[in-house]
Amino acid sequence: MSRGARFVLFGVSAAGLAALLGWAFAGLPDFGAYAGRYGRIVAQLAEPDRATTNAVTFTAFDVRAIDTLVEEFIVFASAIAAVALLRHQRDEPEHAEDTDTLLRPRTSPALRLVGAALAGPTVVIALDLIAHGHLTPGGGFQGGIVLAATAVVVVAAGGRVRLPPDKPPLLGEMMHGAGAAGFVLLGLGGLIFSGAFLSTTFAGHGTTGALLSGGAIPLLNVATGFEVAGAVIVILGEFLEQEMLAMEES
Amino acid sequence: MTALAYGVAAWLLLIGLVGIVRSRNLIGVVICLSVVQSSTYVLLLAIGYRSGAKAPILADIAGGTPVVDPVVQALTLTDVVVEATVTALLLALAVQAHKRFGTLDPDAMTEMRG
Repeated sequence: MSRGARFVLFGVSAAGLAALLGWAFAGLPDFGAYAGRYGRIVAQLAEPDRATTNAVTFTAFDVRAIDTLVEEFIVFASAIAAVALLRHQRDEPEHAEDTDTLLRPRTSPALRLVGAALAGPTVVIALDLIAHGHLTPGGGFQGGIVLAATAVVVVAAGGRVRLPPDKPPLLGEMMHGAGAAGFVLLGLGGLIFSGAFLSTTFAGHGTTGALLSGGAIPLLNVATGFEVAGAVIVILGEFLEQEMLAMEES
Repeated sequence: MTALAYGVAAWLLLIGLVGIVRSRNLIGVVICLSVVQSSTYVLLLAIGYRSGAKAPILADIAGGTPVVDPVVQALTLTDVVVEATVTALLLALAVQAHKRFGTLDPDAMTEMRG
């Protein structure tokens, strides 16, 4: 199909879609006039039932914990799929240099300085986000991404990361495997100790607002944080290696 | 406000689709797809909003204060995570496509080779 014909077809379909969207949105409640029941109930239960003050984390890791488990597996599977896709054609160039030798001539001293200065604080922020996920905005997913960003910052700062072609970036793979397994084990803990898979009450309530409160929810956050950070490190490592192989060839 | 909130969601969906159709670069297609997906974040958060309500962080607000719906916020979180994984996979596919075809222009890839 030619480009012009494609645009015409798209224009007609998009106009139809826009009309349908307008029709559908006209039937939604007005902005700000939310009347749903579930959100209200969940927000009321978060504090008295589980001693969590972040209702979003309470929803994600308690009410919808099984969905979050599946979500974890989506992250897990996509990391493996990215590895399988990118490693498929890794055959010919035998040696990948370490990042420092390849990247140093291409990064500015300012970037390396800022990277080195940010590495420590980034880890602290990530751990803080994960540890306080049940109390304040944050949680395993958000903190995990920030933790993975540390790896990026370290590489940008000229940290030596050697990526031998036949060996996976072991730290990332261990982290994301351990995170996924940890989530399932915590779920089984709920099954054994309080009779329902992923029930979070077996770890006790604690005082509202304390770091150790909210039952197993902080532990699930830690597992998720490791899983997400590991998966992102694995994916970014694969992309980085592709880039390095391309640099070597050129 | 109603028209603005839902209008932004519809606009992001449509303009992202326009970008996908017009794009001459697979990386651009992936970025436009994430624009399309961000329309769902706006829509979810707009549906859960209550006038005058606080964020569903109960630490600093008095009991009984109305808060916005935490369920749609958790759904948005799921949405963001899935979007990130989809983007990673599509970028990996783009890398492979570039290796195989030597270009990132989707129109130049119409000749399928083995």
